[in-house]
Amino acid sequence: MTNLEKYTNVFVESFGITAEQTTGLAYQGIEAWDSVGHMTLVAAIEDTFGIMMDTDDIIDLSSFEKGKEILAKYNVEF
Amino acid sequence: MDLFEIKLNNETRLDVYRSVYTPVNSNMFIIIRGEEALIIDPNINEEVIDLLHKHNVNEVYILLSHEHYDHTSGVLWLQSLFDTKLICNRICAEIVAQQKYNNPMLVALVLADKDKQDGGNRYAEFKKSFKPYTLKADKIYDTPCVFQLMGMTFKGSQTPGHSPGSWCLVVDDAFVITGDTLIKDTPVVIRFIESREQDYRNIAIPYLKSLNPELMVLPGHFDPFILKDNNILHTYNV
Repeated sequence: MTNLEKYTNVFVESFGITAEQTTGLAYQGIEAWDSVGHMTLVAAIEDTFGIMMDTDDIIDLSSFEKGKEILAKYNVEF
Repeated sequence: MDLFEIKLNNETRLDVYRSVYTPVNSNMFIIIRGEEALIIDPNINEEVIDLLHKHNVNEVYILLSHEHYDHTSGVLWLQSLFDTKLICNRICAEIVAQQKYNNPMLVALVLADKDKQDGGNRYAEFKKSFKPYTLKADKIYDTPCVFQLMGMTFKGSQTPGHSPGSWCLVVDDAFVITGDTLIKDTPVVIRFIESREQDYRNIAIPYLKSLNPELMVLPGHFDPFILKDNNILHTYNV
């Protein structure tokens, strides 16, 4: 499984959405991605990629696309 | 701070003070009897110091309803000011003893969200002031348990679901401390990574339904209420 597939799956499983719905998805753009959902998402991302995200990066993870940029800082390449 | 009154029996009434931790509206409750005080889920509020000094309080019992940061953020602060004893159930005690679980991330996110709305600087200030911590409980209870404190009888039961370390305590058969296991007319959050919906349905809800409906509830968020007036319990099929 590629990193993009893993990353997409995290969103699909965390928020109960389809892979297609991740396109353009933003924080608070769906009911499930609220502040509590964000905590679940971050925990799943950290678990999936074996990383520990910095607080500022967790705050900045404002969209599906932005998350990919942030993960690049942790050497997760897409 | 605001003040609520609980009728313990025909002769005794209990004053319960409440301070709200505004980022996420979590409650700290303060009960004073003689020169002792019970503080449930402390947050930092200078008014509490004045209140305790005014009543010549020399012994402070701190009780945690569960392990989440918004319910533990004032523990170290209180411990630095008063002679305290920290009371937890065993699971909660084991979790708050580990720094990684005293995680303020949800509060930080909420503050950052508010900053985005009004250009404030809450998140930066919070980040600057926050120091990672661990907590060491002085009295640890295995549940179910019954214990005496400040002349009152506490009956503790583990009520996992929202978090593993959540418990509820019925006090003198007059009121129940529920933390985030029960909040008036508000669905309990069981979406955290550590939450277990099955435990909430199979353990917490049957427990809550078994309680005297006349009990006053001191919840983790929002206002106290009489148990029978809470509609949310009726939405769960057990």
